[in-house]
Order: sequence, then structure tokens, then C-alpha cells
Amino acid sequence: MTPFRLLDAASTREAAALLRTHAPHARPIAAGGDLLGLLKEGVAGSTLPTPQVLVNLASVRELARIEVDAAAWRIGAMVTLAQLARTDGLPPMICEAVARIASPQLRARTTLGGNLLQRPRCLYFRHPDIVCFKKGGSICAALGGPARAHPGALFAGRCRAGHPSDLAPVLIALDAHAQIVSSHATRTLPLAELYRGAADNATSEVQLRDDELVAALIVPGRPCAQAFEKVAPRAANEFAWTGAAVALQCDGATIRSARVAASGLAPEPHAFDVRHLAGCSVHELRPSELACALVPLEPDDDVLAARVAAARLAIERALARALRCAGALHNPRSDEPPT
Amino acid sequence: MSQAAADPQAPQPLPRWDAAAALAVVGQPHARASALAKVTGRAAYASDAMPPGMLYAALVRATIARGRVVAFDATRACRLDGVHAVLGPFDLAWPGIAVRGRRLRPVIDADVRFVGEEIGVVVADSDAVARVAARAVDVRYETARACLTIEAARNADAPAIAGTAAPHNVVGGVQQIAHGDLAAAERASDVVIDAHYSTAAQHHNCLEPHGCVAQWTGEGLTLWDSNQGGHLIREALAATLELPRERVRVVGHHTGGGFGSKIFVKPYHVIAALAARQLQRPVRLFMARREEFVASHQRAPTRRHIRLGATQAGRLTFIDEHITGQAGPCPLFAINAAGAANGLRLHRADALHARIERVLTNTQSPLPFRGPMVAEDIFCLEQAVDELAWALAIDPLQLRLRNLAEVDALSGLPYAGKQLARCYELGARAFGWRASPVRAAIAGGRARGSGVGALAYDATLYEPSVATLACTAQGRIVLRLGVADIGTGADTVFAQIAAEALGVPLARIDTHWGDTADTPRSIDASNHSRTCAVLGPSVRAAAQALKAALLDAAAQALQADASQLMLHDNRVACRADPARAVALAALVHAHGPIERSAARERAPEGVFAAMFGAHFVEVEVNLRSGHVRVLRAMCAHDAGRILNPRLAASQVHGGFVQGLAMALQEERVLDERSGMQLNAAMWAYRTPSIADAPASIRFIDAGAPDGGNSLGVKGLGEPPLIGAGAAIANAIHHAIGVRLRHYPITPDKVLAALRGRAA
Amino acid sequence: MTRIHAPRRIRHLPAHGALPTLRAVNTDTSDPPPAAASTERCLFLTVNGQSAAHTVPAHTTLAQLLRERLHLTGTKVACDQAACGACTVLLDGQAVFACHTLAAQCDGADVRTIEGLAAADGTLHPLQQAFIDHDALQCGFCTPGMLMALHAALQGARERAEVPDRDALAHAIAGNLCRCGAYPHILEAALDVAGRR
Repeated sequence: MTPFRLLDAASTREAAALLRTHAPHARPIAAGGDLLGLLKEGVAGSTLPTPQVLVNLASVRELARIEVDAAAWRIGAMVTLAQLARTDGLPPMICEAVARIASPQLRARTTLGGNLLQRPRCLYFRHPDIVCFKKGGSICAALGGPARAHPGALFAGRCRAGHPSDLAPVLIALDAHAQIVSSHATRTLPLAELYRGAADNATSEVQLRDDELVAALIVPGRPCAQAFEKVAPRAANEFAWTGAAVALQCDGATIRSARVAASGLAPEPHAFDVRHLAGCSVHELRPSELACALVPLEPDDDVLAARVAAARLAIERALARALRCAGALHNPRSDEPPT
Repeated sequence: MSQAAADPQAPQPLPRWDAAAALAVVGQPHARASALAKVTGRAAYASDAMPPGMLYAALVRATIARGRVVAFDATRACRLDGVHAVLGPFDLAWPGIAVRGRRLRPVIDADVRFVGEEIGVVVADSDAVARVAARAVDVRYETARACLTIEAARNADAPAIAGTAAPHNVVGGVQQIAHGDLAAAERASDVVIDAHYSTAAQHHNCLEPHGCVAQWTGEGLTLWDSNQGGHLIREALAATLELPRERVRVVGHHTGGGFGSKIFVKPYHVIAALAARQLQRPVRLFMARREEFVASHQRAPTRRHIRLGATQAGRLTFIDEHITGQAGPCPLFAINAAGAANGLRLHRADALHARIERVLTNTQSPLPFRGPMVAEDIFCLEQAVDELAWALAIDPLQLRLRNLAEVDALSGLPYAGKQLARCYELGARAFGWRASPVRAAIAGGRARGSGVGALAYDATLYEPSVATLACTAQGRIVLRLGVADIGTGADTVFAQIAAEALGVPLARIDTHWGDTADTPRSIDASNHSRTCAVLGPSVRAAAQALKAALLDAAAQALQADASQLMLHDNRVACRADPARAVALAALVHAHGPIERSAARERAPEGVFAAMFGAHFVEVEVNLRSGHVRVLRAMCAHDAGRILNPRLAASQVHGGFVQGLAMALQEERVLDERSGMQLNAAMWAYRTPSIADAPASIRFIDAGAPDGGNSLGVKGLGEPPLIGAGAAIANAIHHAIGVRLRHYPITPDKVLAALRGRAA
Repeated sequence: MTRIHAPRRIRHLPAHGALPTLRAVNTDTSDPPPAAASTERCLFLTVNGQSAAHTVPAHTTLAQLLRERLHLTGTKVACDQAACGACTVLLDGQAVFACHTLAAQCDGADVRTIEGLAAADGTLHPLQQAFIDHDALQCGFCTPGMLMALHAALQGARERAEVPDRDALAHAIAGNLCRCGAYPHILEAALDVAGRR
């Protein structure tokens, strides 16, 4: 790796101030699960400069706190995935997702913030000798490449990589908000908003200024029927083809509101428009039909067709389980056995 | 590697250990000798060598697929703190590796033939600085048109890749294997299968990357190297550097994986040695993971058009293969691109034909990967045989049983030993093999099926081999072997043979290997599943010779005839009265060191030695996602006499898992515009984790002591991989009723096949 | 300081798929890297019970510190990409990838490596003995990391008063690759030890 300075900070504000002072040569580092990989291989470009200063978020203790009150959980961005898994009372979907992420060794150190803010796993993006849109090139380098190198997004923009974070769709489905701290201000916004425009964003997948940090995620505590399902190329230690998260707020057997989001399908964590499910009875809904309707693609290409199949499968499984969770009196129809 | 079938200079074989021989040490599941060192972290690998003053090197590699380096600008690189040297194609007269009297491309050169080819080296104080500096070298190229696939290279207007006149880049013309009257056999067929198959590139992805540490002491070079045999590396490096062999010492005690990739001298060996000489400091040159995919090379992608025929009664009439393999840019290595002999010898048929074309390309040369050329062939051929069985409505196992070859068709010789029938029988019984229709076990969106696949692998690659046994002043027996430990058990099984032949407990024997300075030349490198067959007889012969010497030396001390004496633990004792004994240590004290070397026995004439096996596999296919899970595997093998059943089981597990990966997961993803490998990363190139391995892999010993050598041993390193693929593919067919003929059988192909069936 | 961008001549590949793929142009031709002193960090580390202070370049990984500074070469670096597990060590009791952990972020931590798995008197840990007995290794390169990952899992299970079953053990080593394919024997060895508790 190119040598860098590693600077500690006593508070989030101070960390943000350091980012501001050393902009544009500074980046925050959490556990480095993603960043170290990019630095070691020299993945860089005009819109992805190699940093000279890293601000050590591990030194900011307040970022690693988990707090809960009657209304919501406040999970600091530096909380590790392993800590999340050990925390009692969190919405169960969070632990379901964590169990399927990476390996025990990475879960021990990598953080919620790191997971949400990780860069794409597109093979062109990750190749040090190829310039792509996200590294300062004019167009997506994967365009015209082999189908087997498909970067993943079924709903693509200028970037065609599927977003790799499994926790992002989970938190979006749970209607979480991101608390963003800069050297002089704090703002809160719905998590999905943070990723707005990811497909056309040449420098990042998130709307963060140089001196802004995601400090915490605020997750509403209200109970809801929920499920996370992941379909990946292999059974373990693998980025998802699709990680689908479903959350249902119900009044008895009637859905009051539904949220469905997925990783791997678009450059941003993809939130589906499921407003039409409000008012439906959980008994009426057929997960397999719903999943097909949400991913209404019939590509000619075999590799894409398999990704569509994976997306539908993940969504269908998550829907089925969430509906069961909502206290359906009989199993909703699914030709998939319970996982 | 030589293929000396019968060397008149070699000694006569010792009396055979036949099936009835009651062996005390050989055949027992002794613990691996190196296990203690490995579980405590004390086992030394070349990548652990850190001589004082060591510098770190990183290679500069071409980012184009074909062309020339026209400028190599080290200005930015040299500005970095800690950089000692940046050397490019124009800085030194780089030699080419010496191979069979010729020279390959200079190890660093301006001429570029594939993405990743070596064009420079940086040496620095640390690995981090070396790598950053390597990226900071500014290179300008003159690019030329590259051919990245077989199809592109064979195009009528494709440029000649190796500068030879080979039409359409097919090197060496079309190799023909022809046995029997093909036309007549075709006429005699009631059913003919005619299908196209393909296999993909497979990268070794050893955990320990390729690399070495080079250190000069005066005129002598010491190389700590991760390899599959130090003596071959030593000789080739000495020839390349034009040094007498004695001045080159290669040290490699444990190698973190080889699988065929670490047999030969490669550019990094030479570059490290020259950089170390230039800088008069030890230089460490190990690959980063991305470039490891270049340095390891790979199994060649192949395309096959297979036709086979049979009578309605299930008698195979002909096998005819037309094979094309991707050969890389260098004609010398093109042989690794494709082969057919072992597939053709697997079953009896009236006519056995193959045409093989090796097509030059601007991709790195193919190099052996466990079962090279054979796995690719049998993965496809055994599926075709399965297709034939279903077309004939004959159980796939029955079809194979009806076509057992008594004699090796291609050589015309009887087999030195062949237990393939027993492999089928024992494997089927253990598996519970029953004939059942396709698509008979579908429930809940998942389909289960079973498949069988057989294998044959020639055991004909021999060479002169020397082993040395000595008795030390402490009364211990030291076995010296010029061999590497790549995880197959060479550190253990030869001590077992020595212990058996000497008649002493295994604990008395220490095996010393891995340093060319103090080991005899026992083998070029461990490859072709032959280490046991090559070294075993010389170890036994050395043991006999040492035993005779010790008994002779003791005869004086004990005032008895040597014939009345025996070795007993750490003494020589009288058979009639074991209390009358002299300690081995005392003998050495009196006589000086007692050491004997022996060469490998003559290989038998008039027989053909080969390994055989049959795998029985059950899979489950997820009909929604296309995922295939292997549930269980019974792997029946004829490997001759099993020296150590515990280590043998490990080989079978390992080979099967690699075969599973080749069948279902592994491939090179190449950007065909630039020639760059896109998935050259541990997280992107899918080698199996525990989650991919079947819940059960069982090794079934269906062998018998073989006539190929006096020990009756054959090999078991590669066969477990060779047998895996077709059994899995056949099981998939049984489960879902469609053929997946193009490996790896990834979920997208399964789903496409299911859609095709539904259409 | 004026930033000067040295333009790199762009080599267009012949038209076989239209799109040129360019070597990454590093436009970072600004100030040279900061002085060495300020890119170093101090940390205090206890490794296998021995404590010491270290000053290292900030980019030094825990694996590099263990192997190159402390000469504890039992911890292997195979992929350097947090994907294979060969570098697994225990950091404050948790299994982590030493290759992907900055040493500077381990200040004050307790590290246990393969060299510290056996007892001080050399008595092997039950896992080590089980690996020998079940031949749960071949080339051995993955073995230290595999053992440390299993050790962490068994320790964790013991703290939770659980007995891990086959699935739990497989889950514990999902991040540890064995290219030699010793998985069946590895699981046997792990189950053997887990079952004894």
C-alpha cells in the first residue's frame, strides 16, 4: 500500500474536521475491510484518488455505541457485525443478514458503517489496470464485456454494478435513518436517500460531502413481520446475487404498509415500489407471483436470466417468511420449501 | 521428465511384496510425519525465509496482450523512499530459461505475448514499497493484434502467434491417434452419440503463492523455493544461469500447494537470482494474489467433438474425439493443451480415434494441473459414455462393465494390474447403486440424482531415482530423499517402506528431504501421481543394502554369520538369541558412518501400468436457482498397494473436491477485448470452502498389489480429481433429465438447460 | 502547488469489441508522500502473553508485524485479501484476518497466534492433536489459520455453554479455504474435540 498517515480523533466532530482539513487527500477508515483491499491492489483513478491521510474511526469511541429507547435503536456506525449479532432485541432481520455476510473473521471486525458504504464488487471496478466510470472513465467498462463478468445490476444506470451491502436493504426495509455528522452540522435522512443517484455518481454510491461521516443508524423499534433471504453463487462467504429484505406492518391480517429492498440489483440498494400491497390481506398474497412482478425481466442472456431467477427466489423466500411471520393462518403459496 | 520404460542399466527388482505378504508398517495408517510441525506453525515454507538483509521484489507485468514495450520509465518509481532498483527490458541482458537445449523468451523482455507477462522488476526495502513502485513505472507499448481465444486464433486472418508458419496457429499439425478401423466400427453401430463438450481453464490457486528467496554467497546461489521438486529447479536454474550445478542449492521443505504449477523454473526464479546478484543482497520475490493467477498458469480450456457408437447389446464399437486445446504463445508448452490417450484406453472398443489440435493464443501457456489433459478428456468422455447408456436403455454401470478392456489398446500390452471391475463392484455396493429413471426424485423444487464415472491414468512416467539410507552415530536411521513435501505424504510413506524393509519400528527412521545440497536426486518433481512408484523401489533397495551393510558390520562384533543376524529396534541381534546384540550407535562408532544409496529398479517390460477408478456420486439440484450440491461421493480406486490408508483417504478427499470445483465452479473470466483476467482474486475465483464440500466423501480401496514394480504401488494423487467431474455431471442429468456438456456447470447453465427442456 | 497532469498516451486496441480498456491513469502527481516519520504509528501489543511496544509504518498489517517484526511466521499470508483465512489469529479472543487488520488499530490488544496455541510446556492443544490424529491437513499452509478459527469457535461455544454441532463448526471455518481439500478430516477432528467437552 502507498504509505499514509493514520490520524486518531476523540469525537465524531473532530474526525469530520480532520477530513475537512486534509480534503481531498483524506478518507475515513473503519476496520478497513473494504478500503484496505482497494489500497493494497492500487485500485484508483481520477475520481478515486489514493488517500494520503486516513482518519481512524476506530479511535472514536462514541461511534461504537448501541443505544435503545422506546422509539428506536441508535446503532453507531462503528458497531461491528459481530456485536450486532450479539445484541439482544434488535430487529431479527439484522441478525439474519449478518449471519450470511462474509466470514466469522470479517464479521468480528467490520462495521455497520463499513458494510453500508462499501464500494462495488464489479470485477472491472476492482481491477487495478482498468478504468471504469466509477474511477473517472467516461462509461461503464463492463459494458460489452463477457456475460460471465456481469457486474450484477438488473436495474442499471451509467454504473451497472449491483450494490454489495446486505445490511443496506435490511435497514431500508426497516425504515432506518442515517445520521450524518460533519465538522459543524448534523443531518438525518432516510437511508435510501443516502444512496440516491448512485448509478450516475462517478465518485461514490452515497451523497456524502468530503467532510461528512455516517455516525449512526436510527432504526425504529416498532415490531413488524420481517425476513431477509440471500441467494449467492456459493453457500458461504460470498457476496449476494440478491439479498432481499421484507418488512410488513400489519393490522391483524391486513397489511398497513410494506417495504421491500434488495442488494445486488442496482448500483444503489434497490427499494421496490410496493405501495400497492397496502390494504391487502396476507392470505391473498402469493410470494412467487409478487416476486415475478417485482422483477419483470426476461433476458435472453443465460447469465442474466440466472440472476433474475436468483432475485425472484430471494424475494419470494423473504416474502413467504415475512407473511408467515405476520401470522398467516395457513402457509402462503410458495413452491419453495421453508429454508 | 523421462519416460524410460525399460532402462537396461537399472538394477533388477527385488522380490515382490505380494498380496499375501504380511507387512507390519506399510499399509498402516501412521500419522503424517510433518503434521506436528504444521499444527504448531513450525513448518518452514519458502515464503517464511527471511535471511538478514533481505530485500523485497515485485514484478512489473504487461497490461497488454500482445505488442512491445517501447518505453520503460522508472522516474516516478525511483523517487519512492526505499527503492533499491528498478530494472526493465532495456537494463540488463536477461537470459531465457534453458529448456532441453533451447532458450525461452528472456525472463524480462520488451516482447509481450500475453497480459501479465514479465517486463520488469522493482527491488525495495519492503513489500509495500516494491508494489507501489512497480505500479509507478510508466510503460508505453506498441500494441499489436492479440488472439485471446481458440476461435480468434484459428480465424483465417489471425496473425501468426509464434512467428512460425503453423497454419491458423495450430502448432504441430493435427496429432492423430488411430487404433482400429473407424469406418467399419461406425457401420457396425446401432446407436451413435454425437455431441460437443467443453472444459474451462482452471487455476491452481495454491494457498502459498509462487515465489522464492535468492541469496548469493560468493559464487554460490541459495534459493528458498516453493516447488514440487528441488532438483529439477536446481538443474534448470543452473543451466539458465550457466552455473555448475554444485553452485546452486535449492531449499524447500514444505510447499503450500502445487497441484502441477510448481514443477518448472519460471521467470521469477531467474529474476530473483539476478536481482540478488546485482544488489549483493538476498531478494525475496513472491507473487501477490492477483498475479499468482498469471504465475501459476492454468489448465487449458478445451473443446471436444465426441462421437461414440455401440451395438444394441451394449458393445462399444468406436470412440472418435476431435479435440482442440488452448495452447498459449509458446510451442514448447503446447503439449499441455490437450490429450486423449487415457480417455481412449478407459473402455474397450473396436476403434479408438482422436484428432488433437493445439491452438496458439495470446494467453499464458497451459501448464499441468492435477490430471493434466486427462481430466479434461475424461470429464467429457465419461459423460458421452453415459449418454450412450441412456440412449441404449442400458444401466450406465452395466454398459461400463460390458466394455472392460483386458489389454491396453494403445500399447497392445496387458496391464500390469487392473482392478477396474472391482472398483465398479465395490463402489456400487458401498454407494447402493440402483438403476432408476431420470427425474425420478423431484420434490419441493429440488431434484436428486446419481451418476457414475470411471477413470484411467497411465503410470508410465519413470526416471532414474536414488534414495540414501544412513545409520547415524546416535543409532538413528536417516532416509535422504531429493523430493518435496507438497502435502501428499512423501515425508511419511517412504519411511514406512524403509522401516518395513529394515525390520525396525517406524519411530527409528527420520526422513530428510527438501535440500538439494544433501539429498540424492530422487525425482524431477512430484507430478503424474508417480512419486511412490518412482521412489518406493529405490527406498526399499537402499534399505536392503543398508541392512546388509549393518549385518555385515555386526557379524564381526557378534562373532556370527550375517545370515544369523537381524535388525531389532536400534540394535543388530542374533536371531537365535536376541540378547546377543550390538547397538547401531556402537557400530557407527566403530566403523564410521554407514550409508547406502540405491537406484530405482528396472521397470517391467511387456506390461502397461495404469491407475483406475470409479466414482459414484449423488447430487441435488435446486430447480429454482440452478445450484448443484454434491451430497455424497464413493470413490473406488485401484492405486495398487496402499502404503498408508489415512493419507490415501486425504488424497481422495482433496482430489475429489478439486474435481468438484472444476466441474461446478472454476473458470477464468476474461475480458476478451483487453485480455485481462477479471476474476484473478481469491474472493472472485471460486475455489471450494467447507460449505461446498459434500457431507461425505469415502475412499474405497479396490486395488491390489500391482505388477508395475516390486512394491506393487501405483498412484493416487490425480485419479480422484479425474473421476469426479463426469460422475457429477451424470448425476445432474439423472436428476433433471438434461445434459450439461460445458464445464463448469454453473447455475446459469443449469437453468438454461431446464428452460430448454421445458420448451 | 500547481498540479501537473502528465497525459498518458492512450493506446486504442483494434476493433474487436469497440471499447478501449485503458490502464489506470494515475493523476495523483501532486506532493510526494509525507515524510516517513509522520506515516508511522506506535502501538502496544501483547502477543502470546508477551508484551512489547512497536513503531511501524501506519500501513503495516498485523500479519506483517507478527511475521516480519516478531518472526512469528506460523501465521501465513496467502491471499492478502481477507478471503482465505490462512492469516487467522485471535485478537482479543476473536478470530480475525491478520492480513487485513492494521497493526496500528490493535493498540492495547491481546493477540494469540498458532505459536501460542500449545501450552507453555509444549503440550499440544486438543485441536492440534486431533488434527494429527485425523490427518486434518495436507500441505499445511492453511492449518495455522484453520486451527485458530476453530479454537476461537470452540472457546466461544464453551463460554456460551454450547456444544457445537457439525453445522456450527462448518460455519466457523466458512472463511478458511483449504485448497488441498482436507475438509472431511478437518471436520472430523473438530467434531472429535467439540464432542469431548
